[in-house]
Amino acid sequence: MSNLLEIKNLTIGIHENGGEYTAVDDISYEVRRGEILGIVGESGCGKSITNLAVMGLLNDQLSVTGGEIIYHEPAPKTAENEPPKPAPPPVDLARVSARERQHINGKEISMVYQEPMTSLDPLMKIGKQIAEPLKLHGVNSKPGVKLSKEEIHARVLKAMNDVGIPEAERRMELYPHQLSGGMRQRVVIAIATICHPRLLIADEPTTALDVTIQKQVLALLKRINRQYRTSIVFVSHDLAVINQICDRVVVMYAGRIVETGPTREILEHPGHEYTKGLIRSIPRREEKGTPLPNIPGQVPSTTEQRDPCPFAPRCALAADLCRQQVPEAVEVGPEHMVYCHMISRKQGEET
Amino acid sequence: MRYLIRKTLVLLATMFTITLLTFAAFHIIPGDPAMLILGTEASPEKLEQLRHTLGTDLPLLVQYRNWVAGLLSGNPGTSIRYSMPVADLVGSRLPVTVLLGLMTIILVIAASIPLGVFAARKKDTVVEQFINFFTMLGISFPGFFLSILFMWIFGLVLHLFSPGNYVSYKDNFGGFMQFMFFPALSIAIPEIAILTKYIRTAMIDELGRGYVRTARGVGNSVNGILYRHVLKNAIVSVIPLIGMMIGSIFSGSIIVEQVYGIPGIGRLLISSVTSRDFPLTQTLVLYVAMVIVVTNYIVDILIQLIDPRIRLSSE
Amino acid sequence: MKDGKIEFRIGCILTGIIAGLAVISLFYTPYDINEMNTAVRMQAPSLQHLFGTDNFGRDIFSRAIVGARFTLTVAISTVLSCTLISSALGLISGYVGGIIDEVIMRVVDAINSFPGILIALIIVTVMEQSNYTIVIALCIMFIPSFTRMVRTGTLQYKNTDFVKMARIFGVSGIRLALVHVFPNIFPLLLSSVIVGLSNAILAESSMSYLGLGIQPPAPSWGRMLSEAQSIIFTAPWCALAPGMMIVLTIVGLNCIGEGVRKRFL
Repeated sequence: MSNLLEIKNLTIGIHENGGEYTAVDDISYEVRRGEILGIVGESGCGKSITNLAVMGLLNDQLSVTGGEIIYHEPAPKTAENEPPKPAPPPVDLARVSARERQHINGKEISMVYQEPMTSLDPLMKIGKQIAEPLKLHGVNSKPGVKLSKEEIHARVLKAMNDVGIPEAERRMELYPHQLSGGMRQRVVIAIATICHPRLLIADEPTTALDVTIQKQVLALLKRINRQYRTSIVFVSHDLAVINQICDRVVVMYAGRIVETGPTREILEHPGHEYTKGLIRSIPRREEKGTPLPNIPGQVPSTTEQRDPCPFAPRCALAADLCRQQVPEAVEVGPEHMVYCHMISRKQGEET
Repeated sequence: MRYLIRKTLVLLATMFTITLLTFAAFHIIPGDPAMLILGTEASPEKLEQLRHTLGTDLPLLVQYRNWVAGLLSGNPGTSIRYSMPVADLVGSRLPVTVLLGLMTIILVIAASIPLGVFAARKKDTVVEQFINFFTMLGISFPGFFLSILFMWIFGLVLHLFSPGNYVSYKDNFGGFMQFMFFPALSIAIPEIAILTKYIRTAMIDELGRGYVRTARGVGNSVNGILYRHVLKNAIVSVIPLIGMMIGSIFSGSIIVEQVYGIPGIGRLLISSVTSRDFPLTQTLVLYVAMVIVVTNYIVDILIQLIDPRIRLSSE
Repeated sequence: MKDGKIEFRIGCILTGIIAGLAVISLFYTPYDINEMNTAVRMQAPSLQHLFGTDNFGRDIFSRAIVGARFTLTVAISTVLSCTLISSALGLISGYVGGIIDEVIMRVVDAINSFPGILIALIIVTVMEQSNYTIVIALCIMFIPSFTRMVRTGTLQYKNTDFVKMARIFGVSGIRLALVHVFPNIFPLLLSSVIVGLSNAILAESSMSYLGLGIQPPAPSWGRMLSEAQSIIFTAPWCALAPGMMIVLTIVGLNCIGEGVRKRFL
């Protein structure tokens, strides 16, 4: 599978109250074509910020201070008798112009947000809101032809049906406050997917929803992924949810990546002490009645001085090395990387 | 619908209170209006006669009933000074003031929306400081001082209109509008300053909301976000303020009509006050209060129609 | 620098200068304010006459600073009496509640539905002309908004934990209202007092422009402007001097208000 998005040594700084801090520190990962990649970590670990940077939606206090976000736009579709066109050159999303950004957002990359209650314009009918990306990007089956009103209407209806909004024709005329949270999140997903983007970023899309609705939304995302081969980055703090839909996982802690690998591999053989802690704190039926284990200590705030291995203060295995040197990636299984000195030391001893 | 009925009931109650208060102000507090008009040295016969013409020799309740009945039948009494039915006096001047008010409102809205959006766009820049400075200055100029300045600069120095030569809307509507532009502007400037400030704040508030992020996320340009999404939301949040401005625009026109010599309701009111023409003042005050209450009522209903959140939840 | 400090300073300086001039005018004015001197009619500003002279040859600077005194006196006495009355009404309304609250608020609402200047006009019409009429008129004009504000503040603090706690310890109602609730709404009240002052100055000068304010021969900014209107083309300084005094005072007060608001609210 080829890479759609490559994050290389990305660093994001916060400037507030006159000080400069680091929110995301030198992280690298890639999103492959057609996969669902999970990003997991406690709130404040930088997972949302990283994805907002991909979308160019960082607020005024945040800015990319280093690294690259490379987007490989696939070759445009051509008719059967035409010769295939070459893929456009890769773009660095951290440095695109405002105009290029407007072309990419909504068409190539889209995002679904955590709060369905506030993500919609309260004064615009939802049909119009779903149609907006279509109108902006003029996505059409035949290139160069402007979309007609009827066509837009039909596409909006289809998008609403796709995300499972019943009575779409009637609901198009409603305003956001007339819909439930689950319905609103479906509307947000319809807005994000109506142009069939190559990459969909879902930032905790189910956190604000009821458990039953959560399941439906997860199923919907999975279907979008299968049906349109849309790559999905699924951000969550909940490994149990990640386990349900993701092919691979990136585990983040305090602005750094601590472990990456296939979901099953990570859940069955976690390498990093932090990942182990996360997995232990998933409630299990057979442990009913016993207290849920947690990771002692707290996530350091962004304004605090961090150790080179940010987990060192809470890690049972931490040694002096962890407070002196940034850990390198160690491969512990197929595609399974762990950023931990203790594991590399153990491997060194074995060989 | 229930909202409409409730609002209408409140409106009727307020109107009733206003007639009571106005009546009370002119009949209970001052003592004898005849004495006030003629002075303490007037002969008892003359006083008696005036009391009879004014109807103040009747019991208060009867006076109130007569007055309200007169108001409802379109005959609220006779002016002492002009010896004319109050209804005729008001009728001939009302269009002037209404036109002046409309022109002012149009100016206020036409100027403050673009200015407010501009100020919000230029947040945290020198331009914003400039706009802040001008809004501060705008609210600090009393309407009559602005009027005098405008008459001097635009009338006498630049000859854009001729102060003092009022053109009736009946004779020459174009000339009337030309003459009225500067009076309307004099009333409008302080209101523009206030509204610009509010629209700016509302725009900045709205720009921080989630739907703006969604709009950026689907590839809207800055202008698309501002004009398609944010502006509408910002305006809905300042509409109540526009309703409240009706009263202050009228207050402004009372004084500005005086400065420019415009024969409207405001000027009539002042002349009735200075000549102690009680029946006229009383009715004018009532009319003005009624107009303001009714306009506010209409604005309230309009908000219901514009904002789907309120419109639909009240059903 | 802390938020609002610059505004606060500019405001204090401006209002300080105007208030200082008003105080000085009590003891000294360069010329007698009513002295007519036909030899120096309508003279442009000069070292002898800082703001020039009017069509009777009176010194405008002297008249403007005495005018400041009258206008400021009216504004301050209006706001003071209005604050006292409204604080009492608002505290009672908010603290006692029930039927008393209902009656006070309905009357306040009814007064509020008249534009301010209309109320002032009614009072001036129905009362005998004197220098107090304008104070009473303006005071009644401002009572509704002040009362409403004090009432809202009182209601807010009435239900806070520290007031409830004090009540458990048996602190009496009046003491609670005065010692615990009132000090907490003070910053809000202070900024309203400042806004009230600037509104009172605007209203007073409007009324005296209409000839319904302070009685002649005492000069006030509003009447100076109305007298200057007919000679604006030949002697613009006659209008500019009192007009700019009004503007500067209002700007000064607004700056202070903004400063206080940014700092405390």
